[in-house]
This record gives sequence, C-alpha cells and structure tokens, in this order.
Amino acid sequence: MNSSIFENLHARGLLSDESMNMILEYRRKPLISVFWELRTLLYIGIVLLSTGLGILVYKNIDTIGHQVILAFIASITAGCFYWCYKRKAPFSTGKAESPEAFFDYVVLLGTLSFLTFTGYLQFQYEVFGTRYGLATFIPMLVLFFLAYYFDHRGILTLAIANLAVWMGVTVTPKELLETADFNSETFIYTYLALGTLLLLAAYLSRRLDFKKHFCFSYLHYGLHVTFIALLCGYFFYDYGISLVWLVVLAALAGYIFRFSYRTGSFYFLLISVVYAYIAAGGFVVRSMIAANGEELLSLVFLYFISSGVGLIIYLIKVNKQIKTV
Amino acid sequence: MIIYDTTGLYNILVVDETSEACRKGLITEEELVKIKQAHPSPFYTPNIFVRAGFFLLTCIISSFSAGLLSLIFLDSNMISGYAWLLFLGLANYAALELSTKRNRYYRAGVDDALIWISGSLIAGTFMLIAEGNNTLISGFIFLLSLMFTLRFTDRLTAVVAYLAALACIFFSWQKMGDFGLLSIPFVLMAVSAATYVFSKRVEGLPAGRYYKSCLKAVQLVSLLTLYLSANYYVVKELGDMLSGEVSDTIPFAWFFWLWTIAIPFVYIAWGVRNKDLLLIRTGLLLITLAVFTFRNYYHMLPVELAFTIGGIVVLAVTWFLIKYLHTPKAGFTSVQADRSKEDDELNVESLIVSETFSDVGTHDDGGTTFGGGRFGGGGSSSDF
Repeated sequence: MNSSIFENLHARGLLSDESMNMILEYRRKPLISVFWELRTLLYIGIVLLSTGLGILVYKNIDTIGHQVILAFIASITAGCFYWCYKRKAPFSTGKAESPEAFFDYVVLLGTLSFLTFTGYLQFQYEVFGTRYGLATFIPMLVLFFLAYYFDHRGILTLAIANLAVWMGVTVTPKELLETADFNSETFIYTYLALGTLLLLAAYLSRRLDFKKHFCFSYLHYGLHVTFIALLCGYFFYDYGISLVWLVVLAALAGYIFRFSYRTGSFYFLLISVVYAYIAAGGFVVRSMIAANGEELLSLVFLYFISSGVGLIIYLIKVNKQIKTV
Repeated sequence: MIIYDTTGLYNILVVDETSEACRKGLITEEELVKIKQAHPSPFYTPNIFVRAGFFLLTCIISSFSAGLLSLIFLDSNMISGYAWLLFLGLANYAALELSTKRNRYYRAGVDDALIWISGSLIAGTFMLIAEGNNTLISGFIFLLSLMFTLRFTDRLTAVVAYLAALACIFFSWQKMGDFGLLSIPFVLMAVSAATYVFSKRVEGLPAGRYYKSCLKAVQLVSLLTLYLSANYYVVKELGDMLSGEVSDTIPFAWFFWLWTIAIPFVYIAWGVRNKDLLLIRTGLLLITLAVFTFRNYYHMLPVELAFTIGGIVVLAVTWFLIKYLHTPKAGFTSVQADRSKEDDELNVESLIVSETFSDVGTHDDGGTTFGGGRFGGGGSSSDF
C-alpha cells in the first residue's frame, strides 16, 4: 500500500481522519489473507490423493483382495458424503452457501472416489456387463444428483462431461480438440443434440428459478458445443444446403446476443459475436471459391480488415452501453 | 517516456489502492465512491474476455493488412528480404502509437497485440541479419523489450526483457571456456538476486509507481531464475548438454542439493517474516520442483505411494493451517478478506475441475484425428 496516495487523499479531504488512522494502523500491522493459497493447496492435495489411490488400486489389483480395495474406496466415499451430509445447508432451489472452507473439497474427494469405485466395480465384476451405455448412465445420474444436492458447480461440469461421454462424445474443450472428428455426420448431429440439451437445461434453470447459478455452466458448455456443431455442419455440407446451417447459427447467435445484452453478460455476448464472425468469414471465403473469383482475393482481404476494425469499434460501443445499464 | 497520460495512470493507481483498502474494510464505501468520482480513468480498459477477443481481432486485421500490402507490391521486388519485414514491423508500431494515443487504449487487447506483432517482426528482422549470433540477438531483444516496457508499462515485455538480459549474460559468459561453464550458475544467481533487489527498490521509488505490475512480474521471474540457476537438475543437465558428455555428479554437488531443497522453504519463511505473498506463493510452487528434482535422482518411493502420502500430508497441513489461522496469527488469516470476487473465481475453478478430471471414464473414439485445425487461431479462412 502506497502511503503517499492515502496522505494525498486525506489532505484533499477525500478520506476521513478515522479511515486514515485505520490505514496507518494497517500499514503498521498488516493482516494478510492466505485464503486462496490454502484453497489451492487443498485442491492439490485432493488431486494427489485421488490419483495416488487410483494408481495404487490399479497396480495392486492382484495382490490385495478386491473386497478390501472396494471396501476401502467405499469407506472414503461414504465418509466424505456423511461428513458433508451432516454439515450441509438445507436444500434450497437458490444458491446454498458452503458451510465451511473444506466443504466443496470434501464433496469433490467423495465424488472422485465414487467414480473410482464404480469404475473398479465395472472393471472387476462387470456389474453392468457389456452394457456400456448403462455403465456411464448411472454414474452420470449420480453426478447430477450430487451436483444439485450439495450445490457444487465443479461436480456439475463433471456431470456434463459424463453426459457427453454417455452420448458418445467428449465435451471438455481439451478433449474436443484432441479426439473429436469433425468430419462425420453422426458426430455433428450428436454434438448438436448435446448442445441443444444443455441450452435447454440453461433455459429451464433460469425460467423455473431452480439453481439459477448453474445456468452459467450449462450455457458455457451448451453454447460452445452448439456453435461448433453448427460450424462443422456448415463446413461439412455443400454450398447450397450449408446455408441452412448458417441461418440457424445466425438465429442462435442473435438470440444469445439479445439475451446477454439484456442480462448484461459480456462474456456470452462476445461468444455469440465471435462465432457469428467466424461463420461470416467462412461464408465470404466460400462464396469467393464458389464464384471462382481468385481475382477477388484482395477484396476478401479488405473484408477481413474492415470487418475486424468495425467489430472492435462496435464491441467497444456495446461494452460501454452494458456497463452503464 | 511513458506514452500514457500520467495523471490518468495515477488516477487508476488511486482507485486500485483505495478499492483494495475498501475490500479490507479500512475505508467506507461512500469514501470509495467519492474517490472514484474524483479520479476518473481517461483510458479504455475492457475486461479480460473482451481483451482476448480484441487481441485476436487485431491479429487478424494486422495479418490481412500485411497480406493485402504484399499482394499489392507482389510484382515489384520489394517484398523479399529484411526490409519488407522491418517495414511491416514499423508499420505495426506506428499503428500502435497512433491507436494508443488517439483511442486511449490501455491494456485493451489491441495495444497488446500490436506490441507483440511489431516487437516480433522487428526482432525477427534482426535475427535474420545477425545470423545465429546468440549474444547479439538476446542483447537486441533485451533493448527492444526494455523500450516497449518503458513506453507501454507492459509486464510481459518486462519479463521478456529480463529473460533476454539473462540469456545475453549466459551466452557471453559461456564463451569463457571451462571456467565459464563452472561459474555460470553463480553468475546467474548473482544477476537474479541483484535484479530482485533492484526491482524491489524501484517499486518504492516515485519513478517506479507506474511500473508496479512490471516490477512485480520481474520479481516473480527473478525469484524463479534465482532458484533454477542453482537447481541440481538444471545445473547438471545443462552442464552435460553444454559439455556434450554424461556426468555422474557435478562439482559442489552438496551446495546445489542444499540450494534445491532449502530455497523454497527459505522463500516461504522470508515471505512470512516480511508479509510478502509473492515470496510465499513462489516458495510453495518451488517445493513441487524440489520434490521432482529429488525424485528424478533418488527413487525412494513408488510413485503411487508418493502421491498418496504427499496428498495426505498436504491435506493435513492445509487442514491444520486453516483451523489454526481462523483467528489471525502473526498477521495472517485463513479467512477470505474479499468476498466480492468469489463468484467469478468459483466459475473459473469449476472449469479447472472439469479440465483436470476429464479423463475419468472417457472412452477412446478409435484413432480419430482432428481435422486440420480449421477453427484454430480465431481465423476462419486458414483452411482455404
């Protein structure tokens, strides 16, 4: 803290004597919060522990009895959930505050060991047999239940990822880039269905006022998946039919744009604008190719320059409007 | 020297400091509102999403402008050679100066992008001219980034400047032969320590007022290089690489081992003493590096046991600290000082959770490949 700044403010009468004394007192005896440092450590500890346990189980599958391992993991899961159950705030349809700093982390640890537990059950005893759909469907249901029951957004994203696995695709961006194959029709439609489902969930959470703060996660994943699916669809089909995809994309982008403008969420506004911009750029380039107009190349360059500049100016304007709302 | 209006920078500084004081409950909300009104920011500084978006858009604009110019001058011989690269770099720099002055961008994404584009183009030109003379290249990059830092108070260019200076010293010292190789860790340590002390000093001076974020960034990186320059793994492997042979041990091994293990704790202890969060965080980070270094040479435990025990120890220590610091002790508390930020960070945290654990239960899609980076880089036309 820079003392000259506060002295200056004090001299100009913008700071009362009382506040100035508080500042001076704080400078003499500062109090530093290590809240985030400790939270990060908790997170690291849980990652270490659950990874270590996972490998431990995997490596010792032949030596220690299966029941022992199962009982051990199950007891961790049960212990965590019991601890949380005792402490949790009563269920509400709004946002439930975490009763204490550990709460979210214990829920996370319990959930992760639960996943190890079901994975182990399936691996060793094939409880679900070869019905892999069921093997992912049940953990998914449990994850959604836990997310809502303990009000945990981290677990909600895990549940969403599991929903995607169940539908045969992976949803987190990293995996999406690594493993997704954008060139197959079934994948495009699966993504589209998944995205629509998530958007519907976002819409319903807001509309029914049921865990409204989950809307962010649903919308975040839903929008990216839907927009990417629509873009893939657009680039997959021939010029004529692909326009249908373009129209749908424009409609969605327009709707999200208006929605985020109303609610003042610049993040979602930006997403809709960026995807619409990519689609528009794709349309311009494809049109040029369709028209066989290589000589139009400099025009296309000019389009990208001017549209980029225009977009920046426009977004600055919208940003100012949203701030003042 | 600074391109920005310094009164405006001072206003931002005042609002930052008083907002922090208000979050800590030292001054009242009414006072903060009054202070904010008396200190308006003349700049355009959007939030992080917009900044990222503008960064990408500016890259698109800049590269298509370069493409258009190259198209126009395609027939003449102008676009081959260094001169064209230099011209593009200078043109981007001119755009940077103009847009920052006229549109009052301040960390708005546009200026960030133009700093990087013009800087890389000019540095690229020099690299082509210098033809692999590492000392010269790193020296030039140091001067260039120093200039950018002084003019635009950008913290990343400050870090680049520091690292380039370190590289320059490294390359010139290396030329001294065997003695140079042996003494390099100590030289780098001395430079890192000197930089840390220097940036700490400057931070307190009135002249360093507007460079606070740059100085903080340099402090962090110099702490890291101070540790790494005498980390056992770095010293040994780098020494092997430079001399081209595989050694069993290195001279003064005991010193480097002591440094590797002890320094993280020294940082933390020092940070606790001086109430310096930067030191504490760096120390915590370096503990992991120390563990990795140790495990690389001595496999005392199988990895799963190390993970499990490590996890339990970390959880136990953290648990203890949270309980212990619940009522503040020695100027530290485990209670959150500032609740206003929580919503945002929780959202980010939930995304991190899904990224780290996304491998849970995913099944292989069977050797599918990603189709050519069509959506990479924010551009739409890289495929055509």
